[in-house]
Amino acid sequence: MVRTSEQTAEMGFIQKLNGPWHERALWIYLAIVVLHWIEHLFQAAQIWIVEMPRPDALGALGYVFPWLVRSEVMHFGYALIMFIGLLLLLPGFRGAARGWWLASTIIQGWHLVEHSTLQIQAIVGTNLFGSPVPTSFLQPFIPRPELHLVYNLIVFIPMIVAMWLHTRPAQDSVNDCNCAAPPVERAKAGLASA
Amino acid sequence: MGRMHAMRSAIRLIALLAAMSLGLPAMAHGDHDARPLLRHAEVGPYTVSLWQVYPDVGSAIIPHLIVMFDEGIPDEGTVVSVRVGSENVHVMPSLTTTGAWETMTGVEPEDVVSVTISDRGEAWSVPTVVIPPPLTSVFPMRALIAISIFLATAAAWWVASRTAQAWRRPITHRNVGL
Repeated sequence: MVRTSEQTAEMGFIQKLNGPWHERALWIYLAIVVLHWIEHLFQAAQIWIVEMPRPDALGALGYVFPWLVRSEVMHFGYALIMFIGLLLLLPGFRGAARGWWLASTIIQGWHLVEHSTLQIQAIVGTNLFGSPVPTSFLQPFIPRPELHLVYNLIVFIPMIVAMWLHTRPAQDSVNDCNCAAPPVERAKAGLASA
Repeated sequence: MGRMHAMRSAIRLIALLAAMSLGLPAMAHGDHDARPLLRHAEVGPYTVSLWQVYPDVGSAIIPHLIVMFDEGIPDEGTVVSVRVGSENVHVMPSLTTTGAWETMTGVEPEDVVSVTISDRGEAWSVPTVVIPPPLTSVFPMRALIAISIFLATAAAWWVASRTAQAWRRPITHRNVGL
């Protein structure tokens, strides 16, 4: 079935996002996720490779805007954006890819619960476990930078597996999007846009 | 259609909650760890916990001590004094944590900390605490970071190549079933 531009225009936002827009949306989303990842890795490298004192290990954005790292806003915002993206792009996945994407969504859902709890503690002024600072559920056992680095890693791995499966050529026959379609040659792309 | 409507409602709710919660805590305590040194010690009429916390100030690199009154704000006139070894340390009510008093200088491993709470002419001592060594990670962090850097680099390269490819493809074309 070939979808005409009129039919595409009649589709709702979620349908477009998981149909004709899915490919571009997916790669924009992954770019945001990679930037977030770089931020975490920058901070992790400061702590465990450069061995900077933890209060000085502010990540990349933290060098420019230190208050961002010292507040819950950046962490909560990132977790929320990641969760919304995973949720919005889920309907476009089929088969095994959907299972992996769903796994990533569920783990990120828990990560968002952790950040929302931290956010609520910061707003209310009462912290879990009687701690003087907002505390994650698992933080009594694992320090926060380690814990949230691991959270991001176990969200990232199934996400990448899902994208790899979703973009395999064999998946093209079941996808509603162009993610697994053969690449457009530069010359043809030039003609199409001319 | 019912599922679409439910999804739209859920997204609107998430967006509303996010907008409400993002405003207030911009200056709240952030990415810091606190570890308990002593929990729920009965000290006269009070229940007290001692915590070691990494401070908000980047230049103050040694985690400092917080004396928490577990049942909230103590009576007015209550005084908390802290000795590290044989020296008195300056301590004052915390600006960010309710019912807590903080030292102005950090405490280091093997420091012996004695806390005394005075109230209306009476004084009670909190059991002496020796600061334990810094926490060690339960994960092989260097290996995890190496794996993560590899994955992030590979993903960044993949993003760059596939994004260029995605933008060369006209957006309305669909080739399923052609």
